[in-house]
Amino acid sequence: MMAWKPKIIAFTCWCSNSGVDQAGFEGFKYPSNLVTLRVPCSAIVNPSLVIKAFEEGADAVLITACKPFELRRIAPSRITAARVSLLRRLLKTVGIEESRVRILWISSNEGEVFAKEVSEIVGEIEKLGPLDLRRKMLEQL
Amino acid sequence: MKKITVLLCTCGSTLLDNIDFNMVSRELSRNPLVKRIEVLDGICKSSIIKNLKLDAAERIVVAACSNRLLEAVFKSLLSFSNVEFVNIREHCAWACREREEATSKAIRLLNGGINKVVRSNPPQSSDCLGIVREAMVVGGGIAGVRCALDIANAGYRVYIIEKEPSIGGIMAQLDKTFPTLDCSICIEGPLLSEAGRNKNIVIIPNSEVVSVKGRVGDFRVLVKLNPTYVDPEKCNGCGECANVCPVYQPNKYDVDLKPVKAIYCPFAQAVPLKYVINKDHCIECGLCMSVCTRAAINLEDKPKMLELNVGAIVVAIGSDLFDPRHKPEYHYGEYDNVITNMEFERIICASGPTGGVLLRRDGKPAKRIAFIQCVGSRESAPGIEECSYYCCAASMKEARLILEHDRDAKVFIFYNELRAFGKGWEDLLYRRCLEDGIVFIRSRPSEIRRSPEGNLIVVYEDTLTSKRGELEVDMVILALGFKPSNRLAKLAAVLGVSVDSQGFIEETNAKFKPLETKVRGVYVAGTCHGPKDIVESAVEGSAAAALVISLFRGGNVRLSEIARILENKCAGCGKCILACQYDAIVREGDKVRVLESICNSCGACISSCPQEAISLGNWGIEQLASQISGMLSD
Repeated sequence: MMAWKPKIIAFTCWCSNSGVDQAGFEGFKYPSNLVTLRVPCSAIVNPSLVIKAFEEGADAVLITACKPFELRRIAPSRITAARVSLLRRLLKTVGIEESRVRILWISSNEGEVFAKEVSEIVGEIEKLGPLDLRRKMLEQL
Repeated sequence: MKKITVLLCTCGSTLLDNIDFNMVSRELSRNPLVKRIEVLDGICKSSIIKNLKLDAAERIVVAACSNRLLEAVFKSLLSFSNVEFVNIREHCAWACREREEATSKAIRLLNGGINKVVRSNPPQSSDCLGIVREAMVVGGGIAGVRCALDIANAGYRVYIIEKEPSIGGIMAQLDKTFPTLDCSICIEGPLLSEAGRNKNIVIIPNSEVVSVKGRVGDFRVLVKLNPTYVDPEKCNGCGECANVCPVYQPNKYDVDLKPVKAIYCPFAQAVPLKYVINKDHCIECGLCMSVCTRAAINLEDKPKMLELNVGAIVVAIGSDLFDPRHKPEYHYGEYDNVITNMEFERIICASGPTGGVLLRRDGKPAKRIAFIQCVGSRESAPGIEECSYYCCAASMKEARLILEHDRDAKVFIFYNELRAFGKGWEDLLYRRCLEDGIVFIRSRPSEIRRSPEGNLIVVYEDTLTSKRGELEVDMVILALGFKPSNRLAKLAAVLGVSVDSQGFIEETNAKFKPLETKVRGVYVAGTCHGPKDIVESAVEGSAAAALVISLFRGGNVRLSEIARILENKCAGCGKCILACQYDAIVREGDKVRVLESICNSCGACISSCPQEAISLGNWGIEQLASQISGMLSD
């Protein structure tokens, strides 16, 4: 039996996706159990997609977004931040730890920051253990 | 139903060590959706794609490098096919420690891509937009002026937005240029007046960019014109007003070393040659108004706003120099004879405060002079980490200037590494410096002290001999490094472009898209993009001009998918209007409408819509949910 490893999905907005590229370019390594899903903008990530990821077996969801002050208007990052904080509170009420939904402000040059933060997040999720939402939902039935 | 083609790229076989492609192919072939798998050796070679004979109706998953690089390769296919890019290089092969890890991550990423493309809709016919064939250059230094001239000479109108009363930038302040030691303003002056005369160039001095809306080909830029209290249309630059003005103020052009009147023209070669009033010093006596025959002066002048519609923007606002007050060990601002290299340039210049004689503040001539290199560069704090590029050559030039003025002077240069890499720098600068007897000492001095006689004592350790030393000199010149200006961060935020870790504007790709930014249609040139010298700045100015011209010549711009509103679903609640950061959605009747020319395809509106009435290409919830389940399946 292989040791359990968390599955983490990261929605990366166009700009922070370049930051993830940069991590690769510069050779910064981070745990491979995080997969990246590129989206045009963090605000496109509907909360239902986060729930969907948990349903499909993700142990944590990460959204990487532009730093609010780097945008012409901070609207999208604010939308993302507001949604994430609301979602975290909602999830808590059904027994899902808040720290399983994360937001990370990454500029398009911050490869090193991304790799470092992600390594820390994966470590934290490993401590939390598996979420296994689908099994929990079946038990509820 | 098998319908998907998967193209796996080994990046010229370099990824074979990181990813087990046989294993990936084997896994994918078990997926019932996959029809064809090709392992290719460098998908970016045009012949390879041609030989594949891809069908337009196919759904394709490309697993290779970053989408930023691939989109250009697949440009012709993208307009009619369903193509999904999976990044197995930067996000996978180069980011994983072990081969097995990378292989299983690649399979996950690919499953996500396959699941997404199977739900994708074919692209809607691309929208083409006309472009406004006028450009804006922000900053009128050497890079900006060179850029504006090149665009203007190709037949397009250019606006130069300059914050100072005259264009010219730092180069206009220099005495001589390296390596040839020719007069700086004598070279730049004609270029400035050429820009001033050019019918296609509109110079807007005393102005700044306030806001930018729109997208490539159609930017709407709001420019603030700061009041100058002199009508530039009426002023003919005669200078009668300055003759009668009773108030003196420091001149920024002369680094505050030489006074000018409160109504002034910064320097003789200024373009445009118009007088301006500094209201901080003006006492509103009205003498200038009484002598101005053209009634150009209006002390009630107010800031004005101007909206310009341009197709491309070049950022060339330059950089500031490091403030040496942040290095208290050098006592700049405290000891009179510690000066910056910019102050030196004005002092040694024949039109400067001392008429070109190197005098100390106490009026004595400076005979023994030391240069300290890398002040504010090549250290993590308080300056920047990067080498400032210009200062080794500049200090050698300045050392030779001192000797040209006074053969008996003794010059010492405290350097860390002497970087004389440019054309003619070794031959015309370094070797001649050695011949002239200039002493090079490899050290970053730890302190400057003051002797009782008012001389300066440089305390240093020679890192070649490991010996400590103290050197008594009359004057110390600090070679300041570049520092991104505060204005740069502000402008970057207004434009939506990003800055790098040092604070300079970040390019799309340092190697092959060095002057393009994150925002299409916004280019960068000169020192706001990293430290460089005059030659390099001019080169970048011309190169940015070429990019603008090719955008203007290339016909209409083709848009990526833009947000579309399904009218029968839209309830007209207007939540999308608030979510759009580009003001691209407007109310129309009881529904909303997307302004095609402004939409930036970000998709913020989609998830704000409670009716799910907005779509943006293949970024809908259906496709993304499918991609998620692919990525997480075992």
